[in-house]
Amino acid sequence: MRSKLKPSERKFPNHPMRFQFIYRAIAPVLLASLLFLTACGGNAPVPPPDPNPGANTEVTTPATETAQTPQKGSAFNQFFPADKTEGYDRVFTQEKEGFAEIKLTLNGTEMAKISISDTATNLAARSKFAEAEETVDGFPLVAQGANAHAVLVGDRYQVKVMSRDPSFGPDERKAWLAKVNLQGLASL
Amino acid sequence: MSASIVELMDQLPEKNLTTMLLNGLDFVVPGEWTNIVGFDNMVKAVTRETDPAIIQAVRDRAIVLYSDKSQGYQRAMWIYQTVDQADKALAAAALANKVGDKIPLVGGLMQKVTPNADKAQAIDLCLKLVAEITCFCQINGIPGDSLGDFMKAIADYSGEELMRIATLICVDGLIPLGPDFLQKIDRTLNNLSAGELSNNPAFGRVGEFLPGGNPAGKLAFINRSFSSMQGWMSGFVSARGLTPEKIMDHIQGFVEVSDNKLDYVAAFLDLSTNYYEHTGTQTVARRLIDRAYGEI
Repeated sequence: MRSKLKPSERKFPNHPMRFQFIYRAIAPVLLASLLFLTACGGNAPVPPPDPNPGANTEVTTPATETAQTPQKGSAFNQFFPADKTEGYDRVFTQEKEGFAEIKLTLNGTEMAKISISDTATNLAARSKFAEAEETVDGFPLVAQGANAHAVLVGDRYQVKVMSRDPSFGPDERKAWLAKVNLQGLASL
Repeated sequence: MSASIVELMDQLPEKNLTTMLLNGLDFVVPGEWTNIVGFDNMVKAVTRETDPAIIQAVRDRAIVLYSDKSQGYQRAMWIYQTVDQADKALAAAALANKVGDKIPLVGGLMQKVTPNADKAQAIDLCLKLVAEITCFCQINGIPGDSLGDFMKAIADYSGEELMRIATLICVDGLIPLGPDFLQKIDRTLNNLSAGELSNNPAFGRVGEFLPGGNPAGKLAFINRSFSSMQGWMSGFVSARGLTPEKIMDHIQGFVEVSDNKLDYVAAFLDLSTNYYEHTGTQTVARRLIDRAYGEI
């Protein structure tokens, strides 16, 4: 396996922060956590009730905006580029309702994140694609700010590549959008 | 849970005993933690964006996500806040006694501190360990399609997450329990009954969020969690040559003790700092911003 060292690992080349060690170390407890969360439907014991319910609550818009049931984040995992694509390490970092995310690292440096999200939970995200002038694999492409490019697949799923390193620029972002299985996502 | 994540980040202290402690332990995980205060500052740090419209959009989306209790972020914040035994009165007293940039842990201040018995300290560390795993799942879900993917995610810790675990090992392990802290914890857990666990004050605060059902089941989960992490923590300590004395050398940059009273130092830090809550707030904000940025 190619060695990818984080900053702290470069100073401690033999230290066991490498994932192989923690993989073996915490497998049993994480399996127990997985069983706990799935058995309970993901519902851990709730915290005590808010003594001031509604106080300082800034937003009332629910996360789910339409009649469409948001896709589970797990449905998106299969469409991300594979691990070791062009030498990049891929780590799944988040998987929530209507959202999944991976991190791309190269030689221990975080280069970018790629996310797939269901805009059924955030309809406003679709509007920016109305004026799209470019496409990737036939799907509208837009730049968002200085560090992100996104496509809208099937008028519903947003795939976004977000740079985390200055060397990962617009060309790289577009190239990695094309590495996502957009056609497969469209058939979800 | 009335404050939004924006307020929690905006209200994070720029400098207090907790930040002094974390800066003092930078040598353990060099450069991993910087004290980012203010929600917009975290947005800029995560996204590297300066466009005010995008920063506003990310903030608005993050507030929506955080407000929805079913998303798990509020639960994670509650766990991070509750697992810390923060005594604001002691912290205020410590700062009032500050001479120069050091806290003199002598005289009246020391009289306010009662060291934990080894058993209580061991349970405290284990509870924080389980809290960390639970919070990870609440914040990030269970990423990937296999257990291997999931464990790569949790092993990918960096920044404030890594600093939190490092501080746990130093402040809740090495200083109060010594270099053989892992063996002490192992012995404590082997001799601990479910009834004793139920009577533990720290368990009383946070036990309801632990997996396992009844106290016996929760004790079993604590045992499995500690057993799984024991080897990794041992390696973490040995790779860095961490010893109580080495840690004290760095902590004495801001806490002055006349004798090497490690028990008192550990208890003082436990009572007057809230590093789980502080770094936990930053972790929740960072991961929430990651998601909000992806969804806007």
